[in-house]
Amino acid sequence: MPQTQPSGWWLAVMLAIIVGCHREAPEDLPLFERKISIADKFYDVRALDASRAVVVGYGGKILMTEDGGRSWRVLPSGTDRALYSVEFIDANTGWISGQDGVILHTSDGGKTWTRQVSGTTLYLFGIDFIDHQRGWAVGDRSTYLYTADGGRSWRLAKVGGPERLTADEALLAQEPVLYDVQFLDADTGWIVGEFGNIYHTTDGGKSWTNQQDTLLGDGIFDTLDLPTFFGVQFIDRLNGVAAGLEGRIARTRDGGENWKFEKFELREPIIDPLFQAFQFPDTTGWAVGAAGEVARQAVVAAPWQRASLGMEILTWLRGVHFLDKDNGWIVGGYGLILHTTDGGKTWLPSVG
Amino acid sequence: MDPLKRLGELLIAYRLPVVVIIGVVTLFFGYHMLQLRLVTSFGELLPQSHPYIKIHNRFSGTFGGANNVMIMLEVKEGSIFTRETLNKIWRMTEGLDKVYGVNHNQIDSIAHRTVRYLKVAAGGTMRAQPVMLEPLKTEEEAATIRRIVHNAENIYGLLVSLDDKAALIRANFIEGRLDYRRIFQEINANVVDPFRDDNTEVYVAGEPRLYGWVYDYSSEIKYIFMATTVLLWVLLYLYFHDWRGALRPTISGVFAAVWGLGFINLIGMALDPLALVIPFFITARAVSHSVQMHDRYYETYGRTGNKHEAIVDAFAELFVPTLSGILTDAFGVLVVLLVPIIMLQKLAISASFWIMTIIVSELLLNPIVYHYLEPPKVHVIKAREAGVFKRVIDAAVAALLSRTGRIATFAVAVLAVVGSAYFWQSLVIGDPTSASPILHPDAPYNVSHKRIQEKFGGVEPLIVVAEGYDRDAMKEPRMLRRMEEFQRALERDPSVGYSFSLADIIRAVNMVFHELEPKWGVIPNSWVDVGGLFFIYFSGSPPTETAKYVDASYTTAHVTFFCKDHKGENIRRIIHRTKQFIFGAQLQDLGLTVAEKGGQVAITAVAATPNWERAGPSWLESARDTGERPFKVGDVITRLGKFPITDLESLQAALSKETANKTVVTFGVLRNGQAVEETVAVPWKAAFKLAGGLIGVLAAANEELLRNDLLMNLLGFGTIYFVLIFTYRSFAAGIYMIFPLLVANGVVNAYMGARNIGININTLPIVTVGVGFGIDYALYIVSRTIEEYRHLGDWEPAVHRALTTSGKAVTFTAGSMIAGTLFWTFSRIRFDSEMGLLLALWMAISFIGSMTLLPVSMLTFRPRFIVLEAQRISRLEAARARQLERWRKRA
Repeated sequence: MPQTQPSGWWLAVMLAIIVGCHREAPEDLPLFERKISIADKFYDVRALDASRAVVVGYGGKILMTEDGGRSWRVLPSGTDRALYSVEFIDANTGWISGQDGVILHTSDGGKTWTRQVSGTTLYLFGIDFIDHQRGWAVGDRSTYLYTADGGRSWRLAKVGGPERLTADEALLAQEPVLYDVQFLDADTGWIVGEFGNIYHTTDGGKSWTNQQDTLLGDGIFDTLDLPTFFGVQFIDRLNGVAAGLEGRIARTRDGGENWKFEKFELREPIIDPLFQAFQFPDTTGWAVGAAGEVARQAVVAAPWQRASLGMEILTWLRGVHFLDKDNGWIVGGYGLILHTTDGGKTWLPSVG
Repeated sequence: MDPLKRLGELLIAYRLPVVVIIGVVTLFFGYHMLQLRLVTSFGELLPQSHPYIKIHNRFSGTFGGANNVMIMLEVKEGSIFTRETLNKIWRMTEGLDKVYGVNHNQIDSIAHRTVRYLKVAAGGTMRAQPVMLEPLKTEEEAATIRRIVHNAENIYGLLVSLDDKAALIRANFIEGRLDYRRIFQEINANVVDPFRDDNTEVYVAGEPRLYGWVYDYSSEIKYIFMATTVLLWVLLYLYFHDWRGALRPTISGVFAAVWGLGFINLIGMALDPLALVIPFFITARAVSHSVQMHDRYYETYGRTGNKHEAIVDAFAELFVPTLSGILTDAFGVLVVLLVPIIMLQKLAISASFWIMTIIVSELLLNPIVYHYLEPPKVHVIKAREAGVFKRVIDAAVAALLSRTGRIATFAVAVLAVVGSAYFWQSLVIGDPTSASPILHPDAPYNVSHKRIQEKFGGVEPLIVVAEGYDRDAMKEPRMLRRMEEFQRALERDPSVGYSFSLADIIRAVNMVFHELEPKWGVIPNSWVDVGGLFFIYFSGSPPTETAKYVDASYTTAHVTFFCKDHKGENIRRIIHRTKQFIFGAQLQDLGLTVAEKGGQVAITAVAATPNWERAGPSWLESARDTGERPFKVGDVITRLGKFPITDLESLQAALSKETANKTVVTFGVLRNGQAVEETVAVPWKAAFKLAGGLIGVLAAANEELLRNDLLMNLLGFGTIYFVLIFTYRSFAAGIYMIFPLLVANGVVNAYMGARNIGININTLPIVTVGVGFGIDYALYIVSRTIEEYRHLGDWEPAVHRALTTSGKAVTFTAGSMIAGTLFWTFSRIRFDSEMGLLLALWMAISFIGSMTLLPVSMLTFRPRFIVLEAQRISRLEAARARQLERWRKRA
């Protein structure tokens, strides 16, 4: 009777089954390539034309759209520090200021950015240029920088405080943080900052005068109780607005000779700070602030009202910029970028 | 006389002492069985020697452990910021704080004292104070809370959902005090039930809750046991045509169970509700052996009509297959000892002891029980011989052993293996589903888990510890930025919801400190500023509260990633990415770009200005003095400390091990063919260490399982093979008998892959118990074939006879066991029902394999060991007969 011994190949098959049941190697899921994420924080926006806009924010992020916010491109900034403020003087030439004294410059419409030597490591919260050569940037410790050669060299300077101070005032007002700057020409400009400071120069920064004293009265009797101003905007030599703490908007219609707090028509008062106000040539405008607050003045000289964006905004809003009465942008925390093309009737969020 | 028959005789002769001894031991184990508790010890589920677990054990007390309970209150209409709802959250938080075992300093809720926000008081002074100090009195206060939450990045989105509709209360439980049942009941009574109403739903998730549900459901297991027992009795009665046939297996099963359960308590172990399927299977083995014995006893008694002879004959003939069946099962389970998880090791010891006790109940006690039992009626036995079952078996065996039947058998086996191989690739280590696979997808726990997941994006923490080399390391802005970068990098993985680190606190504090200006929401440039902000934030809190973020000396903190699920593959990927990030960051800090080529790691670029410090990395003095960089392009890294470097993976592992506690490391470098040593001070202030939290500990467990999975499979089958070599004195015997098991193993693995059942600490013991499953079927059939071959001297009738006798009993046992197992599928614990189904499948396949593939291959290949074994036994019998003859003559 024949007897076979198929042990060899059977053993192989058995081993194959055992080893076959063994598995390893994690499958590699692709990473999210979101251009805008919830961890993003956007500080400023500039509309270049009806379809193009630049947004800057935390972590060295620069975003650019060329189709009205439908799609975004992340532009290499070369830094991971926060970028606070963006300014373009024409379609191609722009600057960005940021944390650690970062100043970036582009001359190709934002495609490439090069770092300029600012000579400081302070936070530069605001930047403003009047032409290709002359610009100013402001930051903490009362410091501002200016350039006359398009940023190839920057010079540091300090804004002087009020001349006569009590001892307490001197202590508190020492080196207030400067948050925003705007120049109309080489001589005339304003800087706003902590403790309600509104500095004004008419000689290109050689001397500065304080303009905030006219805000006293109206419930505030001490200069130290004036709200910090985070943003300032002038549309001409006469008309300017500044947005600040406790939902305050200060306005001047005479070049800063007199500042007055604007009136609001609200069911619940705005108690959170407003960070940025933007006015149109007719002096109506928009303002944005913490806790999703958006205020709007739709009729000249009428009280400001809370504006609805058609959605609940649960984060701070830091930047607002309108190209014209219809086309506008608002940016803020949690990666929020909102765009309107109908004068603020409807706002569309960008989701990257 | 045959020694086995002699043993049978002796047992009957000395039945009284044997019964007394077994009775005393049974009483002893019975006492211990009554002390047995249903408890899961979390620590014992973890592989304590794994580095992740060591980190987990060191930091779980402060940074948060793996035993988190998440409670989410959700309102249907409106927001949570009403006086009524916020007060509910307040009372729920207070209720949770009173639950047994909760770590009072690790509760996160907007209504808990440890969750603070920065308040700027009149005069510009600041202090961090609890969001809710006391229950609210007015709606205005609720509006204030809303404002506070919306401005606090460390609360909004983490403890309050971004749509204001849900609030999360998170608590960590102390590992040594985990009483799942009590936690479950107390949470229901204090935190859940009183707060549900038309507009408010409360969801609870987290491991302690999950186990709470399992305990809650496990009470139904006794009904499953009862139903199974009743079914088995009915089937056994139908099979044996009398009640003794039902009683005998029950005696075996109960004795083994008392001994086994008593032993479990004796070694200080408790019963895990998820492991309850295992006792069921062991009992099934006991019953299975009993049925064989009983069948044989009836068969012999029917032939001889002599009770004593029938007892001894059945005992002697079945002793070998029964014993080796028990031993293979017992040793097969013992293989689980290899996994360094205490729970599994204890389970391995107790399960294999339990299986061994079948020797006592089945072999030692058996002849005695038969001795006391009335013999069956001969007409009953005759009736069985002519029963339907017997006729069906006869017909099926004839068909199987025909030529067509044999070819078909091989064809089906090949198809089964090939078909299964397709599904093997989808089998995973760890959990394959997002919620808990232990319960059904629509179970309240999984519904809660899913809902919390949807609202908060991730609930299962992975804690990576950043352990500084010196105090104040966590005040270093670069360290904080690195942690932030780490967060952003891992958040890009689809399985990571969000993350949290000290960097989030510092940014939020910096912003509040500067009048809520978001532009200040950054990590300051200098450690003095960072230190100042920490001081402001933490100064009002006791160290026990701040310890969950950073230790008192600011040496060590953590980055916690909240993951969306704990699927095995996701855990593996996240851990892989975590290591990759740390490695990349270290290389970047060292200013090195490396590449792997031809088994070497070469430096391809050295940064001109290393990223870490603009002034250049702080190399050791000697290097700095000479102005020379320690590395040059083209250098080949051969060694790091005591670790040889051959590829990027080894460099990564070595870098992480070498710099875990040391700041100075020595690189062995091959430069222009010369071996050079470069000693470098690492430029980072803290080492990232993996890993705590549920994801960390599961990663460790999965890694251990993966490491041992193949080895265990091989050893499991190896053990069986080894026992078979001794049983049949043949190397080939094992191959014939294991082959059907392997096919079953393959099919079951395929089933697990197809049904998304992963190999994890819960399923592994059951799968391992199953490896040896069905070997006893093969043993009985092969032993009977040898016996019949000896009598009949021809292959075909021998195999035929084996299948219609032993095979019949095998068919019955398998059938009734499968039927009994199916009751498990009704369990509300999905794990039990799937394991029930899985093991039913396993038994079915190994039964089919042993009943078809095994006999067909024996018939086809006619293995020599059967013939040799038959001849050996004949020789032995002849020798014994001669000896007997000599004794008789002498007498």
